[in-house]
Amino acid sequence: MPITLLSLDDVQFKVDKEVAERSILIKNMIEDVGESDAPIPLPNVSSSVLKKVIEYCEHHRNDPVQTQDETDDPRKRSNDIEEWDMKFMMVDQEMLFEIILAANYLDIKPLLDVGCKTVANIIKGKTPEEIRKVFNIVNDFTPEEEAQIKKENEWAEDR
Amino acid sequence: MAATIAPEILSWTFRHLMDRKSLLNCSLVCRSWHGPARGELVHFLRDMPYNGQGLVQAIRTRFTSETITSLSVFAFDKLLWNLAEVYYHSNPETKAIFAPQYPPDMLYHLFWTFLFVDQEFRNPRTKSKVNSGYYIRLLQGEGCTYPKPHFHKKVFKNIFNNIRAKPLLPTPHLIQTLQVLGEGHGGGAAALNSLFMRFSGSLRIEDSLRKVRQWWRNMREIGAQISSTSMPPSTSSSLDVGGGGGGGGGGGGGSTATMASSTGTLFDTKDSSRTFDVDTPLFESNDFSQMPVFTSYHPHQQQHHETGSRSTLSSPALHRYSLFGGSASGSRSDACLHQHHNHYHNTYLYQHPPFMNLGFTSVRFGWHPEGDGLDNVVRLPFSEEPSRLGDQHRVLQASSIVTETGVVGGDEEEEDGGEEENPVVHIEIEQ
Repeated sequence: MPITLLSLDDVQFKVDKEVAERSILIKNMIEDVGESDAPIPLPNVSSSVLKKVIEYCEHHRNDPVQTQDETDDPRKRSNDIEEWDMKFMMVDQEMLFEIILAANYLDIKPLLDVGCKTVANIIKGKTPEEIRKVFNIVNDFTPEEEAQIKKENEWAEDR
Repeated sequence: MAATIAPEILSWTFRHLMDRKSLLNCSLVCRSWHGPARGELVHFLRDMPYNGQGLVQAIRTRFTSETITSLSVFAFDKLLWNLAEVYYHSNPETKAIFAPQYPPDMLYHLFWTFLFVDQEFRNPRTKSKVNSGYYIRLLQGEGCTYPKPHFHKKVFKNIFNNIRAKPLLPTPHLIQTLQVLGEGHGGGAAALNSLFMRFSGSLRIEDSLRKVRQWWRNMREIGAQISSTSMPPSTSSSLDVGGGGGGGGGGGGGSTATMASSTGTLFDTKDSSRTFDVDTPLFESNDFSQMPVFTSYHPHQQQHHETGSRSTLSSPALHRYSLFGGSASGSRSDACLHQHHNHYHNTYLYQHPPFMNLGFTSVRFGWHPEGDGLDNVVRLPFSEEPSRLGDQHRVLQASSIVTETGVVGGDEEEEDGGEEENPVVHIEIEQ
């Protein structure tokens, strides 16, 4: 049975139930409300982002559900991203963060992981200044604060 | 947008960095990133305390973070195994480096050799010391399971020189341990054999094994010599090695690890909370009172509690040896598949997060012995060899050889340089 999703800008998307239920939020909504033809409103997700999210869910519709323990276990943590996911995440930075926010809102853990891994891979190996430049972040530390943080970090710093 | 993203999402992102330096850099980006980055840094150092550290640095960090009042050989054994496991999990790249072997197995043996070198140079009774050439050949020679492409002799030489220049242990604990072994306890002798077997398992299987036997025979003689001298009462009273005092476990078992911690703080659950506070400084480098200490209590340790010894090491070697039917003849490669993964939960989670002010080097580029100023980073190629499960039996085979032949050896000679055909090992005992 198809489920209708309604985006922020009132665009409707019809998707299979098993695809929609990759989102724990939607799955819980369906369980709470029961089967209905009424569209499920997603007021925090724009149509362009929802389209991408649905594309991801379609591709991973048969994936096993990730357990909480697996993702929290540091020994199982990895930065590896599947090839398809890597291509899927080749979007501009704004869309990347929109997808992350949507994944967080819709409670799609694997998508959130892929998004965060992508950002982590961008950050890795860069200096604070380079990170600011890449993400267009303003340094709001005072020089004194910055010096203090550097001092506090010394014990864990490189020699 | 990245500056205004929710702290929880930032934390989740930083969790995937798995790199200390990057986390430190993130904490300096802006105010909104600072808290999540610092929070994740604390958890990261707890989860992966040896990330980016060289091998020698890791063992030094471990020994520095422990206050060792006395150690039995089993406590050393367990400590080094735990170190090997945590090092592996702190540096997942080792999986590819050591393929097809199980990395903690390889690291464990390597750490033991560090201690051998350390005790070699700290033992005042050993006049002629094993030189770097012998050490290199021992670990890098033909038939050795340490992959030559990734363990250049320069790496071993630097490690050797580093340990020679600076003691690993604040006091010669290993000598004292060997002293106890040499006292003739039945369990002690078995322990020596098992130790030797595990050590030799990762070395050159053919001719190196003979050299190792000789080395160990000499070490046992040294131990026997030392045993005739008096031990400091404070340490001898708390040392307990061998089957005599143990509660079963066969020839190699029955020991009770006795190691006191400086803190005495007990920590028996993993702190899964991931909160952070921008204004809260990270714990001080030497303030281990805030850090977790692992502990467990075993029935057979009762008598040591009664006699005043404190047992703060969890799941001692007794468990492991019991897997081998009490013969202490098994290989770690084999045993670890069954036991150590469970054991890991007991020990890995309860580590002291050591202070991390000694630098970081990606294992991807090889290891370098830090602190001696000899060389900086020895870069090694990344392993491209596929993992072959069958090769893991090599260690088992080596152990079998030792089991069959016993500790035998012949006089050998060694020259420095690491490439001569017939190395000389000349260890004299001062009478």
